[in-house]
Amino acid sequence: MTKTAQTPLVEIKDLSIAFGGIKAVDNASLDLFPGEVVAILGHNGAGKSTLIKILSGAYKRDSGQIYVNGEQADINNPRDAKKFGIETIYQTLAVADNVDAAANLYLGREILTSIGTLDDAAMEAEARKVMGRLNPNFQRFKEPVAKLSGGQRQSVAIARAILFNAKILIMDEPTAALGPQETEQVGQLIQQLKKDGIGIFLISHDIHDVFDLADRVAVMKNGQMVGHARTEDVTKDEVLGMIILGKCPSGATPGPGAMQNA
Amino acid sequence: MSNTTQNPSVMKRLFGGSGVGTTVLILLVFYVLLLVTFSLLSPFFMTVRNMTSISSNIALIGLMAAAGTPLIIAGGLDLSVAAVAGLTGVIIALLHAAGIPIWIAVLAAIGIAVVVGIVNGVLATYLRLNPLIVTLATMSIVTGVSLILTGGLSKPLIVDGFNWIGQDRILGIPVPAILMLAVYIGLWLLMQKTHFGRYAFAVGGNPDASRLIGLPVDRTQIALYVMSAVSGAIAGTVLSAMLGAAAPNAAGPHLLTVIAAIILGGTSLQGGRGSVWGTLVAVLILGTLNNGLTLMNVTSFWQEVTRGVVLILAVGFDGLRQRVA
Repeated sequence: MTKTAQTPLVEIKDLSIAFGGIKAVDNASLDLFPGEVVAILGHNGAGKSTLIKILSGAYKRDSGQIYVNGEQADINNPRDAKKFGIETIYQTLAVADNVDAAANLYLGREILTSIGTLDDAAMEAEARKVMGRLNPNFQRFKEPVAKLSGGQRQSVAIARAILFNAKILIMDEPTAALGPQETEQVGQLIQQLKKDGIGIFLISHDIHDVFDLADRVAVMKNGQMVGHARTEDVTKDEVLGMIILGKCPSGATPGPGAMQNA
Repeated sequence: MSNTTQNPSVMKRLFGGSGVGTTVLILLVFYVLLLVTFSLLSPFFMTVRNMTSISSNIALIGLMAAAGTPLIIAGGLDLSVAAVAGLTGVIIALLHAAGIPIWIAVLAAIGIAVVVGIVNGVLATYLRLNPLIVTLATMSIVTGVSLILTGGLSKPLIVDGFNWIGQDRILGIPVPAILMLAVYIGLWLLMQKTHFGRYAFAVGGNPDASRLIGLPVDRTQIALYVMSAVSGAIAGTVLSAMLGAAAPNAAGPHLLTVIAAIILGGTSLQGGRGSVWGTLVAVLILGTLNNGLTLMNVTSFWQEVTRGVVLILAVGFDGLRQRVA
């Protein structure tokens, strides 16, 4: 990935947000290129989920800019984010448990018939097409999502994002709730999405979950960006040092949160 | 990956999945048993005259419970519906007495119901107040206003071309029952066939996820509060037409039956699940139960007790369903 040759899909610049005087995100900057997977790491409370919620429109930033494809993006709510092709798969999966899988895929953007009623047949057919690509074993389109396994629910949430031409996918702890086999499945999914040129942010507090999936890691601590590095330039231990101490290794580009006299 | 529901059953298609069809079926069986039992116990039960009288009564409760069902599915609750029904009759009677054409008066009364619905909705959504308390308060306010406006007395309301909606029959079926059926069909279509209905289910099932997905959570709920109030207003109009009078608290005693019917009908108080047909069958059951007990000379005092017991049983079944599901 040659950074200079391309416009980043997303560029976050000097983003800050405070809750009651506590700076949850403090001057954070980060970028993401097409077909790239960037893992955002940090302890619980490091600010990674908050940063990503600003990008997905769930929180409104206090200051800073977001650029999508080089153009400034004014993101104030989830609908704005979707307009820019940013789709989020939340840690607590944002699916309506009592509604079936096909309906969940189209929630908020239903296909309607010519007289304005729900076209369930068309939605199910489209859902089968997308799911056929992502998770061919999935067949339970007419069951409430509550009855599905964690991996299946994850597939539904991802399919939902893909269905709406997501260019930028944010996955919050994508494998935290999954068994080994399902984690493997999500890994394959991510490879598939990369091939389609989709940029992915993976959020995790566990480096082992995401290190092998990511092209780059970005580490946050106390709301600040410690630094970022290409995964081939750093070891897991060095990244752990970034997470725990805020110590930036030589292979990484330091940010404002890096330990100063390291 | 098992694949048990490739072909959803007819019941599921009709009633919208998730065990709701089963609930409706069980209730229907219970209803038939109730009919058989009362027919055997009282010679007056299975008569055209009695059935007609039951159906008018049922229509009233059914109309009040109608839009309350989608509202509870979407995670709301409206206790003010019966009070709104009472106020509607009062407004119609007073406006008509002041020389305003009757149907204009009806529209004005429905307009006031819309305002009550908006107030309920805004307080319960934007201000995040508990809907139980909000609508309990508006119930008290609306009832109070009805009493103030009338001095606590009932107002006569016998108007040419008006009372038929409460008293006449079309092809032998009382007009209120026809009205009720029309409202239920309309709501069923709304809930199963439109994106609004789907939002209602999603919003009630998982409000946080719905918000993150970008669904208009608050607007959906407010619209349903308004619909609940309007269905109360329709019930109030029919009631005053039926009685030929507007009594300020005429509908109040029915509130408990209305809520009991919705819950008994399989609509979850937690939101996210339910069907208007379940409510309708539950209304039939409760109406029939009341009537049957009356025919068997059980005093209305005992019926009050029965209502409470049925409500507890209904909530109990709801809890049981949650655990089984």
